[in-house]
Amino acid sequence: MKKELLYTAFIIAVVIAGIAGYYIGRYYSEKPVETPQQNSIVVATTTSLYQIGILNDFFNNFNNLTHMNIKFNVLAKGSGEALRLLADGSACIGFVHAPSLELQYMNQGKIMRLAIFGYNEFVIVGPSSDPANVKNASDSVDAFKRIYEAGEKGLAKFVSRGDQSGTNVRELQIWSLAKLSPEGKPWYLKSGQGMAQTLLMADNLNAYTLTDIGSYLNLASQGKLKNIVILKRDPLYLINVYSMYLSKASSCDNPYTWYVALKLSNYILNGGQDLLLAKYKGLVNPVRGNESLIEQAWNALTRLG
Amino acid sequence: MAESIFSITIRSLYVSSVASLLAFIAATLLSLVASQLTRRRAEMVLSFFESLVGVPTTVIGLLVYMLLFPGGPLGFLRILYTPYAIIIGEFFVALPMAFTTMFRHFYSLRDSVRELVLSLGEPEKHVPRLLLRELTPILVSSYLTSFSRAIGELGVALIVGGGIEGYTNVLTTAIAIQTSIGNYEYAIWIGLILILITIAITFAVKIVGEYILWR
Repeated sequence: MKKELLYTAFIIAVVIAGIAGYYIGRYYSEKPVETPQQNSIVVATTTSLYQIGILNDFFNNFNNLTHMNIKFNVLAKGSGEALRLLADGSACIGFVHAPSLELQYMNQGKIMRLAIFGYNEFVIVGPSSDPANVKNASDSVDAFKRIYEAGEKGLAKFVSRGDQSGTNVRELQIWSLAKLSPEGKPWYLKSGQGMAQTLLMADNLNAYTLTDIGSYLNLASQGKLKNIVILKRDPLYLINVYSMYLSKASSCDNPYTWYVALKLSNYILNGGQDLLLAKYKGLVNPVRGNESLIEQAWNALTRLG
Repeated sequence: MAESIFSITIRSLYVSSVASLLAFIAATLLSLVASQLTRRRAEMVLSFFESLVGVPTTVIGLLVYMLLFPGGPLGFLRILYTPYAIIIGEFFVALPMAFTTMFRHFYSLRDSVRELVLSLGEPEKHVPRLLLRELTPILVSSYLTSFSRAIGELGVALIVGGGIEGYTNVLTTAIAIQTSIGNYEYAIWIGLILILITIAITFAVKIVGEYILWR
């Protein structure tokens, strides 16, 4: 009896395996197996550049100019996660905007900077009624102090990304410059999500938040933000610098990846700058002409808080 | 928005069906082996897998990432951020589901069918055929259940697949990424397709269930 049961089972298994084999065979034949590193490179990027569409333009133009026909596999993540993926070697090229984290990884010898290629600014956005009177703050640190006071009085809320992204890192730096700790306060909400979701959350809750201007304008132009407006700009503490990195992990340590990465950074610092100027002025500005200024700003940002 | 919903759907169906098929085969073989155990041990195996059903898919995703990233034990395969990585991850998501839905029947049917055949005075060689007939609908519904679990999970697909447009973007990652960039309308369309697929599967499972009852 047991033998017969096993025999039947064996037949079932063979039939199923046959079906599975056919299925898998079809899957493979439709998508020929390619060794991943041959003509594709994994790129980790901060969500904002992906959202605005800059990266796709970069890659398309790059492929058109160089005729290299490289497939860039883009992972849209926060800067914190993107840098971690670079350090792991899971992704080889990264586009991020969190100077203090970048410096940390560079000091550990995990990544190498290829270019600082663009900048824009962070802005403090909040309800147009502005209960914390952020509009009249002297700078972003003062603005955060006002939000804190209003929050303690129950007049205002603040939505934080809470995800170690570039925006979140900057926000925490400003809080520490203000010598305040909003951690655990009932009016301090952590979304743990991307910038767009955080902005929509702030919009629905009539709360303040810190955002890069590109993400804000992108959503506002689609009419998705009804209640929150830009309240405070601050050229000193709220400049937002985008950089490009190459992973030093052994999985990326091959001539092909290096060649592509250097060519790409070369393109972004030349042709890419024209593209930024022509198409993305105000969202992400090119650094050309201000290279040393922006690099100084980057250095200053790593020392913040 | 460069990618059409259609190609995402096709990719999603492919990846999840391969993953759940592999899980289904493994679960079948596992059930066969485990049905030889004593009832107490079989119960223990079953409870173990039942507890695995509840493990969050993000945890499975993280574990598979640790396995596949370039510094990990299987990093040399270089399949992180490919559809194959998602298939591996979803295999582990679907396996406990497939096993728990089929094993209980395996175990109880083995004895009852045999008793039935013998009490009707039929020769014992009829047992396997009858058993197969009894098991088929259970196997089908078990496969469909694990398939719907695989196609509806996000954690694995996002962590080891990465949602790369035109390569590893499946329905759930498309929803997550489009939501994260504020494109809710597009995300809802994909969500509707996902709902349609799962509803279709639920109905299929129901119909197969009826077939068990009314045959």
